[in-house]
Amino acid sequence: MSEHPPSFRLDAHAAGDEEAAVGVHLAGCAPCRAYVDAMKVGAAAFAADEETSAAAFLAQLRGREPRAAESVPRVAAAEPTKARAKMGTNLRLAKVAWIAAPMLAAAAAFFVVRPVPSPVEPLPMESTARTRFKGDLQLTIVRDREGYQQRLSSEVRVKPRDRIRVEIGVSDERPIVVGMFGKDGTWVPLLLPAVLEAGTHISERAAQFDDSPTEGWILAGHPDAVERAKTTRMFDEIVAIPVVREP
Amino acid sequence: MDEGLNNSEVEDLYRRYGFFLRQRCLLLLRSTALADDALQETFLKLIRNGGGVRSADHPIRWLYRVAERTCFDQLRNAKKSSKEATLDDAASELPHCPGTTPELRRTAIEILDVLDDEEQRIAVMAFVDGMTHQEIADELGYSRMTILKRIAHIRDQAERTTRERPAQRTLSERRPS
Repeated sequence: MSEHPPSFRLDAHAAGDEEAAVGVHLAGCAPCRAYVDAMKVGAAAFAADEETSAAAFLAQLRGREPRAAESVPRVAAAEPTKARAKMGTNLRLAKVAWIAAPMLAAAAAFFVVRPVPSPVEPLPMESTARTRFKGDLQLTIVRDREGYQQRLSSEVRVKPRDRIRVEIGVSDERPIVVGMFGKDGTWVPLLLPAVLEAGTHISERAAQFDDSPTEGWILAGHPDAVERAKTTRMFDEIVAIPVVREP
Repeated sequence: MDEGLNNSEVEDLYRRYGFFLRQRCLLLLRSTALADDALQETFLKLIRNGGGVRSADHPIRWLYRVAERTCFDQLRNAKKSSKEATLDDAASELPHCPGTTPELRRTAIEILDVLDDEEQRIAVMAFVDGMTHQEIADELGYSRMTILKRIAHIRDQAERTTRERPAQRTLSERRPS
């Protein structure tokens, strides 16, 4: 569609998040350069305007929701380190885990989630799966429809009463969470946050769809990354397999 | 659950990206009042649950997605209300988006309020950000074919709207393909 960088990358460049590849493009593309220059001028004017100053804006936020904008020493200063994201301590996992129970309860309106025996016996299934692979994490969905099981790794089409569980393969020890994220924002955990050893693992839970299956995605990845993805609905850091309702 | 941001972090983000976020809100909502409201709501979300931005590869992209979701919610709430401004001012600032006409692009943005949640996101990625089908597919976890179909559906709706509308404005663009 485009030989130009997406507009958000040009905007990032104009905001000071300079990226070498964008810089190279700008050097040879006068219109993009003009766009970035115009954005810089706009941003400078915005910064110089007292009405839109940061102090005024924070005051507006306090007025709107006093408790939200109070200075709360929640965390250390921003340290956008991937190393931090990869640390995956049990403490952090425990923090993530406590939210699973109420979300599970909330999701019960459309899902029946129940434990499945594990380990699971080898399945007589159609083996067409092209396993989704991201950062040495392989995810396969096993869909059980009236006793017939099929391994899926691209799009999962579901009907009422279908049951799904997941197989996760990791090449090294790492913290993982897997669950079904509905388009309506609900979250049904299939594998609660846990540190998995290298190898293949079966989710401890299965989900059975009710008469009106909710569409969404099966998300798998580091618990922090999955939480981010649920907020932003950007799945580039994790493995995401769409779940769609079969007509 | 993600941690929220403290005042200092919010202030830093606002200084750096506030202008860009407001432009994005203005483009999607076509109302200064709604855009300002959406901007505030976006930052309130960050205060409550925005810790993820600290480790985002592209903070502005992360912030845009939060702002866009806020705008989509506002569009749903304000579906029946008329927009106070045309798209011309905000849309004319956008970089060129190859593979579409300026009119189609503008109409796709204008019909955001009749699209479902997912099509709204796809429309913004395709017609505002100018992302490729593959980039959109990778980000949303769909196949490229699915994205092609969804974009075709958005185009159909936009073209139908364009045909049904008597007078059209011209969208000037900053750069050619």
